[in-house]
Amino acid sequence: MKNTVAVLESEEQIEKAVNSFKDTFNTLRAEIAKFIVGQEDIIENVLIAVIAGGHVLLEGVPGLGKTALVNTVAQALNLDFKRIQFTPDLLPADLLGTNILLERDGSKEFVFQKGPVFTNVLLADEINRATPKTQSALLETMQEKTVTVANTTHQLDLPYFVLATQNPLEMDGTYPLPEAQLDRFFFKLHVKMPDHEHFADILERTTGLKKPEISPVTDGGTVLEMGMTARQVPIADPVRDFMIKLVLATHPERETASSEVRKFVRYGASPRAAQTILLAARIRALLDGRFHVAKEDVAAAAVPAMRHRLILSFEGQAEGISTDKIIEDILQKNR
Amino acid sequence: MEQINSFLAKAQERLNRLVAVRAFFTAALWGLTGMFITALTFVTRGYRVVLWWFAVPFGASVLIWLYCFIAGYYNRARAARYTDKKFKLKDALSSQLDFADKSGAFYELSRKQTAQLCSKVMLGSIKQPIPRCKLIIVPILLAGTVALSIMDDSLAIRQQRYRKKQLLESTDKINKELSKEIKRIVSTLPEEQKKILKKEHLMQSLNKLSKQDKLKEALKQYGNLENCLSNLMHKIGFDAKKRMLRRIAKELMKDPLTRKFGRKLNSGMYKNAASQFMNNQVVENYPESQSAKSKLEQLQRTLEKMSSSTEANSEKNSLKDKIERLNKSVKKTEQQRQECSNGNCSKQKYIDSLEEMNSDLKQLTEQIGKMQDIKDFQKKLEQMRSTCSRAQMQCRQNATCPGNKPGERPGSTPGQGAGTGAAENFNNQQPVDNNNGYISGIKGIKNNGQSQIKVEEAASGQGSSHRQARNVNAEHKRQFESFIKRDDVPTQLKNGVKEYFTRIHQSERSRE
Repeated sequence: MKNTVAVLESEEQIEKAVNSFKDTFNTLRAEIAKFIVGQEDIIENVLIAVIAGGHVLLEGVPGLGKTALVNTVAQALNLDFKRIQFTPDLLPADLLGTNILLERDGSKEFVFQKGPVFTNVLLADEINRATPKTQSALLETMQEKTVTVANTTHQLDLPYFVLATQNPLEMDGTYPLPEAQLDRFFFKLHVKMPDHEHFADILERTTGLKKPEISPVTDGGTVLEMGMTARQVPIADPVRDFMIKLVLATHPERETASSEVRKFVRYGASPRAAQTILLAARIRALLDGRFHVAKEDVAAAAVPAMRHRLILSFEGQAEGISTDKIIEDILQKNR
Repeated sequence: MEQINSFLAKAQERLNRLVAVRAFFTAALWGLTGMFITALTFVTRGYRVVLWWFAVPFGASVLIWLYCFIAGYYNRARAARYTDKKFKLKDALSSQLDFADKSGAFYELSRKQTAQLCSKVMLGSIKQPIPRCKLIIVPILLAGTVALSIMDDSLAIRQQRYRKKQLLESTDKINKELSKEIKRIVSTLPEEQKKILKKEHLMQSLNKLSKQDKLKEALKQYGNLENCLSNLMHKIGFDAKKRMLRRIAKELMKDPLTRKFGRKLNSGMYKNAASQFMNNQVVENYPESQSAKSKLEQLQRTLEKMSSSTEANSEKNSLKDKIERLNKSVKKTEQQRQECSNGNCSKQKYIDSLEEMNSDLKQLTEQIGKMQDIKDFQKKLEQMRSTCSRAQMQCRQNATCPGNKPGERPGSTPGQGAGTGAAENFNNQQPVDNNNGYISGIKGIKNNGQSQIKVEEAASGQGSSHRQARNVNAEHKRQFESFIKRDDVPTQLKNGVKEYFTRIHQSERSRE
């Protein structure tokens, strides 16, 4: 599916598109919430990332429903879904596909067999268990949305999202994602343990005879349209400057950097973080029914967009400082 | 967009009005604090508040108001940010300021949405309450300042002002009287003496007299005038010459032949003495004349006595000089007469020497005669100095006992004040002293001495003394200094007084 959505020009078109956007988003949210309980923020951010065309890294202990979430999202979006369990022995060819020798009409020829990446929604489970070589094989697909095997480039169908998970507990035998790959993820979301009430709901929904049915709400084309609509939301200079100030404040070499940043941060967020924040903020503005981006939209997107893009110094790691705290402090100072 | 602009303009106006009011209270707080402190400073010192002093804190408060207003001023962007935050418009207004010159469907929709939001906002709910402490303190300070401002001068200050006013009037009056009196005395002087006064700038000193509101300054100016007169008296040196003539007179009075002349000199009848002395002029120009012989003898005798009782004087043409010259010429004439009588010299020589002698005699006589003029001049100067002293006394009296003062309790009458002193009381009689000039003590006739100040006992009153100890001490010091400078007081007495005061101060220092 290609991006052929035209720019909205008339007010009626925009109003219609925006209303449709809100309705679709809310319907998706509601549909996913039928099965996934107590993770409203995660659902919202995943959907925002999907609409923005970004990839999401979900981090959480096992058993929180990360895989179920991705599965449900794929069902609600009515998109093709594949799951890959990453293991240390997973090879790039296992992901991308490979040429195999086939006999056809009496002649033998190499035919490319597509790998699991050829899908719309790819769940890369425990991505940090795969080797760096395998991890980097995913890089091209995430960035270029293409696969190159034996000098032949194959285009992936759009929309294409990678929703990766990683387990923060297991450190033995894992390969932490390199910064270059981390930077390719739109959001990094922390999946938390549900509270008591939600726990009960989860048990009700997952261990009973009846399982909630997830109906498809939209399709890939609509998702792409929604993304294009969101890109047209205007942002005023003061709000844009606020966003840029936030990103620059994460850099310790800057004069505007706070003492905590200078002490605990080694490298700050890249311009990709600003792009992420802006796209997410635009979507949030539309969800709020506004035709302009506000600072609160930027603030809401800042933490998930930058938490995986800040690299802590040794002192920061030793002190156990979290990047979330640093980003929240920056937000507080710049309000 | 007009709707948004209009809304923003109203919001800005309201915000700036509130800023102005808050700035006013801040400025009022500081300004009234300054005014209150200013008023308190005046009142605690006993003065009525001078209102123009409020100009400084008032000016400062205006500047503070301006500063606070400018610092807190809401421009469009700031007003938009405030309104967005206050009414949770989610940066709608701030964004519209940026979108003002942009076109497009999204911008239009954004504007419409913002205009809709603005129509629901109640700008009246924008409040910036003034801190309660300011609302309480400002009226209190205002009331306090007004209360202090309407207070009149304290009793002490009013009395002080009254005294100053009295002093001004009295010094003005005294100056006029003093000036009139001195001018009258000067008008009686001969031209030559007027010239001396002119040379000494006496009239200029007199013209410098001005009315004063401070006793010290007033007394100082009279003191300066008195000093000028004293210096002049010292310059003309009458006393020294008088002493010399007295010594001569005493010597002359020992001899019956010269006693009459000596008495006249002693009693200060210089013109008479001069004319009597002139009678010694030898008019007979022949050496055999008995009259000439006796006159010459008389002259010799007189001159010898005169010469023996005079001290050496470096002054040119001094009395001593003239006496010696005459003495020589008399001796020479006598010698010539004798020689002529014996036929040893020519008559012409005798006549020449006689003429020379007569000329010298005339000069000495004139010198003696001039003493009368000098004496009269001295007397006039003394009169002027007395007038000055009286002016000082009067001034002091007026300052310390001004009479009815404001705020006095009814029924309390002040004392009659210090005595006014006696009028001029010149002692024309000198006490007889056979000590040949060494005075061991002064014996005077009661109430007849040269006194300028005579303290009378004042009638007792119910008034309190208004003179502080230091004023009394300062006055004593001045009187003491004036006493020391006087020439008619014997040196031994002066030394005694000096020693007395020196011992007092030494004992005070040792006690400390």
